[in-house]
Formats: sequence, C-alpha cells, structure tokens
Amino acid sequence: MDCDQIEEAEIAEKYVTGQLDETEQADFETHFAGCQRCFEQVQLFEDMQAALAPGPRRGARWWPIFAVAASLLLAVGAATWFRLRPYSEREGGWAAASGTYSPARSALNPTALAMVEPPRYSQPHWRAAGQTGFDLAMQRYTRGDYAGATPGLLAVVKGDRGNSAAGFFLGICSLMQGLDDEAIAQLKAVIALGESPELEEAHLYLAKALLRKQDVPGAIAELRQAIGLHGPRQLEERSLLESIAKEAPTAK
Amino acid sequence: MQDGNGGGPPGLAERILAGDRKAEAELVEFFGPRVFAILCARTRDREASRDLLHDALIGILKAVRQGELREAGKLPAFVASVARNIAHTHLRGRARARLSQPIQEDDLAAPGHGAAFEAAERQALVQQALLQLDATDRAILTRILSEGQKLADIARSLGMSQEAVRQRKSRALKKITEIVKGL
Repeated sequence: MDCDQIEEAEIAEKYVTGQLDETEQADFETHFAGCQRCFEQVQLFEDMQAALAPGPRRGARWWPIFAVAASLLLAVGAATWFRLRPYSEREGGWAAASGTYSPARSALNPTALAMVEPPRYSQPHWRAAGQTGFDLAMQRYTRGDYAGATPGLLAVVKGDRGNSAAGFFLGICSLMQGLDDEAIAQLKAVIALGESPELEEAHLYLAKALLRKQDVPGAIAELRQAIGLHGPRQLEERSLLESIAKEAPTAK
Repeated sequence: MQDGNGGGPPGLAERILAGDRKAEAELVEFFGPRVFAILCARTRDREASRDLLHDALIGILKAVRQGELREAGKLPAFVASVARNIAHTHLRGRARARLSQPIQEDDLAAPGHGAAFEAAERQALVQQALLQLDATDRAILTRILSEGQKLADIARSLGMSQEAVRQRKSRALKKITEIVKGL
C-alpha cells in the first residue's frame, strides 16, 4: 500500500481512532516513521483529537497550550478576529454594548441550545477517593443520580462557602433536575468566588441555565465571559454563541 | 504496506555509530515527533506520552550507538518498535522500561526545548482552524475523533444520511488541512 492508497483508505484516521488491528497498526507505524506525508496526517489527526477532547476537570497542564493559542489568536490579527466574532456587530446581530434582545423578532429555540450535557467528574490525581461528604455525593453524581447527590453537596457548601467544586456541581445537579433558578443562583455564587478551576464552566453552564429562562442577553454575556478565559471549552462556547446568532440573526 | 520512503536524514545510523553527536541530535529531531505520535496513539494519554518519549529516545539512541541496529535502512522500523514496546510496558502497568546498563542522560543529545513549543504552537493552529469550521462539521469531527462514534450513529443522531456525514467530514478535514498549512 502506498501513500495515496493509505490516504484513500483513511488509515491515519483509523490509526488515531484505534480502528486498526495490531498488525495493521504496527505496519502503519513502521511506514509513517519514515514517511513525512503520512506522519503529517497522523500528527494532524492527533492534534485535532487533542483539541476536540473534553477539557480535563482538574488539569492545569493544558493551560500553557491554550496560552499559546491565545497569543496566536492575537497575532493572527484583526481580520481573523472579526471573522471569529460574528455575533455582536455583524448583520444586525446582538448589540455588543447593550446586549438587548427582542423576543418578538427571534426564532430562537432555547430548548435546543440549552441542552445540557453534565460535565464529567474525575477524581483529582493527587487525591485518592475517600469517604468525605463531597466524595460520596460525587459518587452519586457520576452515576447520574443528581437528586441523590444534591443533599451531600449542599451540606458541603453550607459548611464551606468557598468550596467552588461543591458549589459548581451543586449548580449542575440543580440544572439536571430542571431547577433552573437554583442552578442560576448557585452558579452565580461560584463565579462570585473569583478565580477557581470551575470558573470557566460556571459561566458556560450559567449561560445554558439563562437560555432556558429565555434570558438570551444574559446567556451571551456569560458566554463571552467564558470565552474570555480561554479555557479548554472555548470551542464549545464559541459554537454555542454562533448558534445563538444563527437562531436569532435579526434580534437586536 | 511499503516502508516510508524518507527514512530520516541519510546515513544517520552509521554516523551515530561513528560517534557523530550532531547525528544524534538529528535523530531526536526527526524521530522524536514520530515516537510521540506512536505513544499517543498507543497509550491514549498525551501527558504520559510526553514522559515516555524521553525513555524511548534514550533507548533508541543507546541501541544505535551500540550497533544493535543490524540494517541501517531499517531505522524507522526499529524506532517504531521501540516506541511500541515502551507503550506496551506502560500499558501493562509495569515500571517504565529502564535501561539494563544505565547511561548518563547528559551524555545523550537531548530533545530541543523548541520541540515542546513547536508542538504547542501547532496545536494552537489546529485549534484556530477548528474554530473556523461550521458548528455541525466541528461536532462531526468531535464525535469521530474524540468520542470514537461511527458515521452511522452520527448520521442517525443528526438526522442526515451517512453519505452526507461522510462528505461533511471529508470537506472539514480538507479545510482544516488547508488552513493549518496556510497559517
């Protein structure tokens, strides 16, 4: 099999996504170890895979990459920048300064846009799973038992109002149970704590909660805050903002 | 499958065997990213792969220095097999592959510090390119590359034909490639 055939058969993609058997995998590795063209394909797929992967819940090690991304975004210049922000000034979209919104002119489908995929929780690598109230509540959370996780998280938050993780997941639990007002209050409380590992996602999920309440300007403001943090969920945030602009292109 | 036609800088193994330190640096520069790609694919863990890369490169350099590579033309195959072994050892949960005869790491050509920045820069470019895709196309790529979903499942959930999803994926990949190469 030559390089053209490899490309035609999408071998690089299959390799990166683990669809080759052991022999095929080893053969392809031997090939691309000496082949620049096929190696570049593998590298591109792996880079895309990394960029599209959900952000680690506690991983701070990704931040240097996103810092570089932020620098490059700045360096690319105004032309690209304008293309990346069609939501505010372009074609009568959202008014940047006022954030005003006219529901009467909107075809917005907030239910679809506010679909919530709960953030995954994984035990921080530096701490073994324990039997604290938080751990027990998060065990329920990871099983999808949001109602069951709520009392435990609530107790943690009451005991320690500065516990951003407990506050954040409490907000998510409320959101998953359709308790939008509680979710909004809780996520706002997490944001009010300031810098925390949950800050970006608190803005993102608050935006979703606000969308459910038809508060589109509020949701846009939160998404902009989230995007401004240049965190691991930036793609999703931009995509959601883009979708809002598409759903209600004439709203002011 | 044919072996890669490049094989790295010419005469690399022979030059390393002859004690050429510059050749060692060339080997690290050329094969380092390839070894990293293999480690990532095998371990599915980029962070662990960064750590394992060092072990793999040391193992490769040591073997080439000691003349363990029988055919110089087989260097890419040898490099790939070392990377695989390191990944397998890691996955088996054993202690990392250690050299039976420890050597001074300072004595080997170390991967350039620029390599890490280069990788981060490349990733940032990919990120930038992904941002320019249509949201649906980005979602399709996410499901394929990050979540391992099949085209049929994606098509069903998006209410599209499988062919339409395949075409969107191909177009998106082509666009990403063009953007990344153009930036």
